[in-house]
Amino acid sequence: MKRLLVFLSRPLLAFWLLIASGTVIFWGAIVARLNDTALKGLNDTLMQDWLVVYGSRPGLYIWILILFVLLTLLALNTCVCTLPYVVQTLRVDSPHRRLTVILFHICILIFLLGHLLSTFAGTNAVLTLKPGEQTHIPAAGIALKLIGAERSTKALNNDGLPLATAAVVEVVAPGGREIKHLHAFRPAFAQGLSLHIALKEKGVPFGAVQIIARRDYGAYVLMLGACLAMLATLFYAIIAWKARESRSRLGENS
Amino acid sequence: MSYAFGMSSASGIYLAAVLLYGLGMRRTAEAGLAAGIVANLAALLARGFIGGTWYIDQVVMEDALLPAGLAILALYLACHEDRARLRIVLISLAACALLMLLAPKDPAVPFLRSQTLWAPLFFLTETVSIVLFMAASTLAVADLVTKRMTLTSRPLLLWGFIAFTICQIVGGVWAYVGWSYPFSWSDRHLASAAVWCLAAALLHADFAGVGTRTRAWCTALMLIPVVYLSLFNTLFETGVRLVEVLS
Repeated sequence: MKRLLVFLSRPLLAFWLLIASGTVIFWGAIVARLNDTALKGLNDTLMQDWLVVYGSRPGLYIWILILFVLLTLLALNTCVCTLPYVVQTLRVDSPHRRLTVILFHICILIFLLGHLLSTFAGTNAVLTLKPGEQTHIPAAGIALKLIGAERSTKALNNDGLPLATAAVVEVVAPGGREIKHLHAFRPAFAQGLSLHIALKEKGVPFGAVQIIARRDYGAYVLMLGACLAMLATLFYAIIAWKARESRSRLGENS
Repeated sequence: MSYAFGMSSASGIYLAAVLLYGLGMRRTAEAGLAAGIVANLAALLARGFIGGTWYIDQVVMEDALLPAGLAILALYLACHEDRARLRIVLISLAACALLMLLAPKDPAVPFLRSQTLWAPLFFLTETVSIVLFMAASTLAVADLVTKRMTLTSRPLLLWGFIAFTICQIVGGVWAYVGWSYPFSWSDRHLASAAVWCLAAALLHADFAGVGTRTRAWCTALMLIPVVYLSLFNTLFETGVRLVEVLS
């Protein structure tokens, strides 16, 4: 056990795991380029459901399995490396720079957890509704009714029809009803779901609006990680700038 | 001024500036770089003005911004008298300028999902990081060719990594509000993730005790996903257009 911990705590392991992960993900990028539709299916399908459809084509997903192993090892390595660093940092007089490094590594763990959740948990439904129509989303336990939509004067779909850029929907849940206003780039949140206007340019019939109802737990975790990473970046930039200034001042004095 | 004329002029000015630097006319070459940046940015501004409306997503066109980014980096290095690195950055600039000179310059078509501030923020931060990564990788290639290992530049990687991390976060937010998911299983997002992992690995190289030669090889090889991410479509379209013209 101790040997395993020593092995996992080596920074050299982090280096090679990151190089291997980068290489495998680039392999995945080439696979995605050659099988665009198949891989993009993962955007609105959970991994386990996607594998049921594409299980007979290992060329599409073998890299994902390898990546999963590599990232699991990387997460373990990050934990084992960061913990002693945290303990050391607590004993240092001026730990600002070290704290940003720790914060970055915590962010990596949060990002990995977020992607894991997004890949394996949640629901996604794409609904095409005309005003006055209502549809049930069984996986979410709610129904959506489109009350009205606003169309762009400039943006057209592939058939030359104006695209819907805002909509009003009624969310019908067992606990009650609520009205939600959706806008392009401004999703609404109801019953743990995020509701987006699809802004889709293909296959939407005249007068209809396409709405995406998504329950993505990983997205919230990723948002938390993103906020922390932005904070860490800001702190790092300030510290690096101050260090640069004091170095140049020292240079002037000497 | 049309985008096609402006971009071709900017590319020509960059190539002339590189040539002048090669001939030892440093001050003229620096003035040429500055003129190229102005022409390049003016061409992009012209591209974004369509039917009386500004479309900022058409201004921050990544492949056309790359030469401007490299020229700015070259001017920065020239100001700091870092001639060894400047020479290598100028080679990258000449390659990018030549590509943009030959690349097809199709008229801009506004894309609805890019009509948000997240899109230009994403492309700007990505361009900054790609410029820095490209410079770091070409310096590593130069190190490997000359077998001296004197040009490797950690600051380029570090600031490139910081800009790229911000870019990935901004891109994630844009994808979430525009498409409903923060990460897409498309070749572009995956190539971005690959570049991020490789840059993160290279930042660990110092603490991990990785040899200078291994580090230089890894930095040099990072050029493949970096070019794939930023220039693959332009390279492909230019190749197709050249084959059509030649046949």
